[in-house]
Amino acid sequence: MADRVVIVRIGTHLVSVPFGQIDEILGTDRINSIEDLPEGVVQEGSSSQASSRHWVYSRGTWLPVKALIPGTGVSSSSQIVVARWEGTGKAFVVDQVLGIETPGKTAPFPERARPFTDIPIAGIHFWKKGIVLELDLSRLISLDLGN
Amino acid sequence: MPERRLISFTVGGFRFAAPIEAVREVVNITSIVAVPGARRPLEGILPYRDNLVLPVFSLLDLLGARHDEPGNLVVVTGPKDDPVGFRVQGMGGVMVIGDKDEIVPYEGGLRSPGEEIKGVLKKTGGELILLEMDRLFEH
Repeated sequence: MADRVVIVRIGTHLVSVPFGQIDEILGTDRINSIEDLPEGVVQEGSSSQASSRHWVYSRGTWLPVKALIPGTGVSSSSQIVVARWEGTGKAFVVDQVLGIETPGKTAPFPERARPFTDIPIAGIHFWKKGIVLELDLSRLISLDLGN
Repeated sequence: MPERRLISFTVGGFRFAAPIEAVREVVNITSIVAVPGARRPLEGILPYRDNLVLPVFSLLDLLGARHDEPGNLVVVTGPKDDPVGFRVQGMGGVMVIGDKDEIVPYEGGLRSPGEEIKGVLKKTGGELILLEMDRLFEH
């Protein structure tokens, strides 16, 4: 049986993350601005961290909130998904968490398309509400996404 | 020149012809699923048969020309287990070319670093750009 996934909407895209790799789903009330962070959280010289205006505190760690898809902003109805892969967390903003599903048919993402997208996609689920792109979390964690 | 069967189609005002054996099928579509963060020439993906996902590319982008005109037909080419699609605006007919047909070098604005364009076929009623579809991803 296929593993359960959490399906989220980002703009017009449906994206899934393996349920077992999600630490938390937070509301925007948990967001802190970079000015409010405790001293020393933002590492000196880290332009990636310094460029992140929004941060969340999750399970003992401050994480910058990143946009999975360039241009995705944080609004009052946004939610923050905190995913973890081999001990490393990543927080990213989504427009809406749609639910937990057990996907049916899954197809691999076409290799010919990979060089033309920066978003790490492992596969495709054919869901009742449309095509869902399955995030490749191991690659996502290693990426420095935009803010 | 041995006889060859070609199929013709139009993209962005260009008329192309490709060997019919290179075209697996032509699919009528209503929309393409956009891939987040996708860069051209990738236009999106489509569910395809045998649990495959078909990547759909802009043919003119692959040939170095910007093109935004949507079409509702996708020409599917490539191997059975690794197909690829190109959105086109219209399909022409099937034609047979042979010794009597005139093919001249292509001198237009499209790029063909991998000899994707084999020449221009001069036919009554206009010219067709001869395309080798299996070369499109080699460069």
